[in-house]
Amino acid sequence: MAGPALAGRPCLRCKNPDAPYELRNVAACQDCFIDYVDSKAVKRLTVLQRETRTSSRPEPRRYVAGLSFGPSSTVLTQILDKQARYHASRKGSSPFEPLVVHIDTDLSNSNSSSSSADAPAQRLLAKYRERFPNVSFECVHLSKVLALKTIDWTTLPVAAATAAGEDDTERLRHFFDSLPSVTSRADCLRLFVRHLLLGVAMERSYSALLLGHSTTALASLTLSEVANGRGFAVPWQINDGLFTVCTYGGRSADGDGAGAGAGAGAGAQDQDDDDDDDRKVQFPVYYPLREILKAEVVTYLGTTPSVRDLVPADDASSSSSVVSHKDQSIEEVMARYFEGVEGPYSGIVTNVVRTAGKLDRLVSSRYCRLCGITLDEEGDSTWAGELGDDPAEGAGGSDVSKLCYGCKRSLGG
Amino acid sequence: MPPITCVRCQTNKAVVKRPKNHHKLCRECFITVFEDEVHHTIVSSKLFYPGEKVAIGASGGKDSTVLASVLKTLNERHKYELDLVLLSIDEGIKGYRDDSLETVKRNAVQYDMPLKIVGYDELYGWTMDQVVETIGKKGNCTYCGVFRRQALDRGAKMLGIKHVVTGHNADDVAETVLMNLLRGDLPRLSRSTSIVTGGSLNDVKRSKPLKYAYEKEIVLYAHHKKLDYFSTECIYSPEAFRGTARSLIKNLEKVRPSAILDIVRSGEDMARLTPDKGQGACACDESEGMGGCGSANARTSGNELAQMESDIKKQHTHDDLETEITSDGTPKASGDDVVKLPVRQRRSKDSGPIQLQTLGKCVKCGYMSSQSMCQACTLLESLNKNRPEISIEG
Repeated sequence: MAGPALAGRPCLRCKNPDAPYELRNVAACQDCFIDYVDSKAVKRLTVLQRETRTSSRPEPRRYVAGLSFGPSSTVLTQILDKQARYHASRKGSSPFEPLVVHIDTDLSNSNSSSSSADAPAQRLLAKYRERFPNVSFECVHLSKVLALKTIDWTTLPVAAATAAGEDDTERLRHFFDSLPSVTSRADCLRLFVRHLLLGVAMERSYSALLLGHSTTALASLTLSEVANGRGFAVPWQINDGLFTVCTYGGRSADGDGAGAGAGAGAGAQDQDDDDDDDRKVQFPVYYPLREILKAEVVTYLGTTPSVRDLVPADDASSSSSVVSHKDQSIEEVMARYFEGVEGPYSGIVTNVVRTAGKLDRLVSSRYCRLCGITLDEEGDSTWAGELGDDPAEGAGGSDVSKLCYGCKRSLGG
Repeated sequence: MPPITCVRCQTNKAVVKRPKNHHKLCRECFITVFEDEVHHTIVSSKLFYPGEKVAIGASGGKDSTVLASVLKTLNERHKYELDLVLLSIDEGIKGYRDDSLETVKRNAVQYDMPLKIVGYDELYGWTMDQVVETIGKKGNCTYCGVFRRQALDRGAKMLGIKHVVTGHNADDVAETVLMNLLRGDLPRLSRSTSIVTGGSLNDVKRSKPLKYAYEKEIVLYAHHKKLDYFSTECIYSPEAFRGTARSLIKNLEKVRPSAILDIVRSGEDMARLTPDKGQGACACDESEGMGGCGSANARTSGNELAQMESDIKKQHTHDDLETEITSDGTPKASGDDVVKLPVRQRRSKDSGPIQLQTLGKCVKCGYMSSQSMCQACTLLESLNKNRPEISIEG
């Protein structure tokens, strides 16, 4: 909304006297505001199309987008819906087919009920489906992550599939319970969701993954990753572009390939890394809302009440005072910090993202088996911050070196 | 409930819960572990050579007092054969620095080290009291910080010493990492985590042996060793700093104690991702340098975010974002095994070179500077406008 200084000014773009919105320090009317946000996102989609095009012929644009039911991913869905409608209406346009995927992270029920139509996530998704007819929707349960081979499950403390007849949801719940802190849980959850979305996109041969992070969310993610000890991964996490995805064949947590994996592993232990090289794929990951601040996302949402009402009321992130630090994650601390910074100092928020984008993306032959980012081959040798006198440290053995510093921290505390 | 025993020696009663990892230790074990960790830092970074003359930047505050005490202990225990000297800067702030200098003088006797005090008045012809009288209470920290950076070097030169150690702790380094990210300052990000700065291009190198030591542990160490230190804040520094990098770090530490160390680690790793690859470390970003504002939270002025924001506004408009972000989309060619999809490159308009800083020398005083005149001389010039001409000596 327009600040007091801008109240009563006409829209700077179209001179409409009714300009209740503030857009980067100038007054704007509703149409210009919507137009601005739309065009920022569409511009990024155009870049995506140009950068991933493999031939000069028009090709279908099949994108998977993540939906958390939060304001940003809802706005992304809305924009994709508009785009799909626009492209469908034009004869010469190549097909634009977005698939919006929600990952249901509710682990309180067992598998069967969460996939049924009356799960809360499914019910909410049905409303989205109704509101955005030009987009396909799908709900995937978090427990499906256990079937993915893009995570090396042998490095994680997840019980084997056959143990005690537990279903996947229970196994995952036990895994999360075993993690040392709220931050670790939040961190692993975020990684799992990302892996799942990538999994859906790759499995069905979609051409890119879209994530709805706003500028503010990206800035917050940047500093969260820094505080999680994953500074090395920041340029890979924050930038648009190709992301290397490794698969670890025969080692999915379902144990279906466990026998074969063990047999092959015994014979070719030394060539382990070479094996993995064969299973690397590059996949584009883009953030179309990267140039839109969180407040602008919320304002944009407010311009369409029918969409705004879809978003569940957010009880956590309201700027109430912190009750206990014990129940907070680093992610939440950062989000709160940037909530405070964004209003008066939006330039700093964009600056963080811009700075992170300038960092090199170093490529190495080895990748972290959990977060999937290239392993820093120099970092551990130059690091002198710990004496290594922690008795728990040595226990992990060689498996630990397959994980990056930040993932080790998340699993070990 | 029986008293908890120390996890390390399993015999004594634990009296310390380490802020760093929540291990419960007895007094002796805590002191030993703290000293061992500093020793590890010194050895693994090869900070000193036998017979080296080293000046300890001493303010009388907790960090530098602990640094002096630990270095003296380790020097004797591990036979570093260092020649240790205390070097203090007198900014000329009555009611603050004169009192803390008394502490340093006592430390000099306690640790049996020579002490050298250099004053702003003799170096620059201005005491901070006079500066504040001229420019007011706002923004004077800039002057003090800029002057102090050079003062330590000049003091070391007077003593014929080429190595100054400062009491920067892990919290300070983590704060600098976050500040430089918020500020978008890649050159500083690349050098701020180096344990040794200055050196080849400058006559005096700086190092921070307490780089991995938590501020809270430093306080505990000082407490349990019953060290004599001075803990009053500078009378000119503002007190409340909501929303600053420092308070963010304190919040992160509460959520996960390892966060401070993790930020330092991230900073070290990111330094190797910056355009100048962490090379050419110099000491010019240590405005919070030792011998300055005695309290930890007074190291940055209260309106840092507002200052940053106005700097950013000057440099960029929001629209810059889109071109910059895509400019570096291609991975470096070092990994040959990467399968490259045929990707059309963006047009050349967006690949503007990232500016690197070049290190030169100030035309007036010869101190290292990326501009033709160093910051101290620039500030002095503005101060001296209303005074008869004075130049820096030394």
